Amino acid sequence: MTVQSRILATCTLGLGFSYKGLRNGLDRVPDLIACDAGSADFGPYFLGTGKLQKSRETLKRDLKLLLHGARDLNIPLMTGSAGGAGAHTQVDAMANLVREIAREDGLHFRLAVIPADLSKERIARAWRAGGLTPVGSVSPLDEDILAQTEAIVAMMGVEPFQAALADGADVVIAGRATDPSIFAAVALNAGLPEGPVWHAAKCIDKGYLATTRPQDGSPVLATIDAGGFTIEPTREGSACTVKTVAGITLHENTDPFRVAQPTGTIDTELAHYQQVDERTVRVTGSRYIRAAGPTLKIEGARRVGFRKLLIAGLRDPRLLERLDEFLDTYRAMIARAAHSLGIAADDYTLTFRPYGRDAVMGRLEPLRDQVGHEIGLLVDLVGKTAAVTNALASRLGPTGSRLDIHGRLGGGGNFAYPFSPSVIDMGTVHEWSLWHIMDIAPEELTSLFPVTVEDL
Amino acid sequence: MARLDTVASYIKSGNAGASFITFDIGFADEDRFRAVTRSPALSAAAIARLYNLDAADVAIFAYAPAHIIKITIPRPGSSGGIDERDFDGVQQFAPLLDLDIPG
Repeated sequence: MTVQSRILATCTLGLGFSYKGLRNGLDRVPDLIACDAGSADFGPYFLGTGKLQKSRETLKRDLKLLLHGARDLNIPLMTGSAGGAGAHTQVDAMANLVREIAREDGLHFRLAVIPADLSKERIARAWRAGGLTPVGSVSPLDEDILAQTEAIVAMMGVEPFQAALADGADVVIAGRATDPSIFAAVALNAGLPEGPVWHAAKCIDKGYLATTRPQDGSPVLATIDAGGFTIEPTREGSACTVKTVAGITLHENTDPFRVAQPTGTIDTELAHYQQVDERTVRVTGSRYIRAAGPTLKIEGARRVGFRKLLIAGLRDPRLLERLDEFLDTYRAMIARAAHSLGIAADDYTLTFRPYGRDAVMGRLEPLRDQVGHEIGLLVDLVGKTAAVTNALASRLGPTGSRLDIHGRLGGGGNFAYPFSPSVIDMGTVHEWSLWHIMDIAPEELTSLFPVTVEDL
Repeated sequence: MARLDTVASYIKSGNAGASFITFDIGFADEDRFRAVTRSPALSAAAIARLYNLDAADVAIFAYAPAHIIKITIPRPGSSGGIDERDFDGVQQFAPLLDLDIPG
């Protein structure tokens, strides 16, 4: 008999998906249900704070349906990058949600939990050995930045998922992981070749984004065999086409043909996409090129300050025609206020975001001189400490609102405030302190991601 | 001459990791895809001018299987920094809409 492996994929956990599509997919008796649960696109805040990126309610809705589907068929359910950033607090919160659903609904299964946190000592060792390479425009690492880093995760590959299966796991809640790794374990364990398995995993890792109607939230089903794979949506009305499937390898990726994984690269340059019926695409010729040595992508976040915002509407045409002069003077007056409060110039950052002019594109805005009849001015204050931010924030409104740039304000105000209080507390601000590739020993593909199992 | 917005079926931007912005420009058919691929309007030099970059920092791929031209540029700073304007990078395509494509 020909070996096949079927993977049913929804999109990021908590985004919602078509219930009908899930039912249809389950009718096809998949060998695995999987989805990712996070992304670095949400920014460093979620790694730095460990907060869940999506509400418990929306996560629970998706998780409950997927858990019941997987248990009905007695097939594994896997998710990775739990909670948004895949840090241990988020993994714990997601595991607790699974335990809660199991308790409420009387489900019994073996749960595997795989954290992805990495110690500063391991990073420092790689850094000293020259085995840590920055990716793109991240600030250079130094000892201070590493010391200030609050949370570090490594993107696990498929190996910890395979280790969980070897431990008899029915449900896997994993920390930070590469998206395709979440989907590849069962098919690789079935003995299918790496080329089609990894490319199929990549094509379905965004679920319904591989379909013509993403708004329908259709799950997708990949059927992998030794020669290639097919991919189709499970909800009626959606379709997978050569364009939508080929387009997925480009998504959020710098190189359209190559997607790096811990042990190699998914190479789709020679892949052939064929429309087999109006909703199904078959892909052949995909390759997985093994790397000389394993590497892990590392993400770290550090806190850089505390933010407060002021939102003000500007409607005075006499002010708007001198907006730059106004903002420069406003900035200088805040600097004087800071000085008077004993706050050093480098203890805070003040950013003016004039929506309606160039708040989106900044210095790249070609239409900067076309200001409309009103501006939404977002005044963005980040202090190094909460005390600095608090002290200076209460000066933002009065200083700007009373600044009489054209001499005809008559003691009135410039700022139309939509809210009271006018200053909004945004909490802590974080930045990526680590965005690196780290060389590792082969055994670290599993040893850095210890699997713990429990029977519920 | 035609604006790229009218020649392409879609133009989008987004993060490719925290340190790059990537643009995907999709075309309805082979003819339009080939016409723009061959055009100097979308050269690395033209993109560099539009986004204040060095041409050496601009990567352009013509992806024939899906009729997509992909352009990747470095971000000014890593995503989510203090002066971030668009942390997903989804609105950074706007200047591309008005590029003139010789017809």
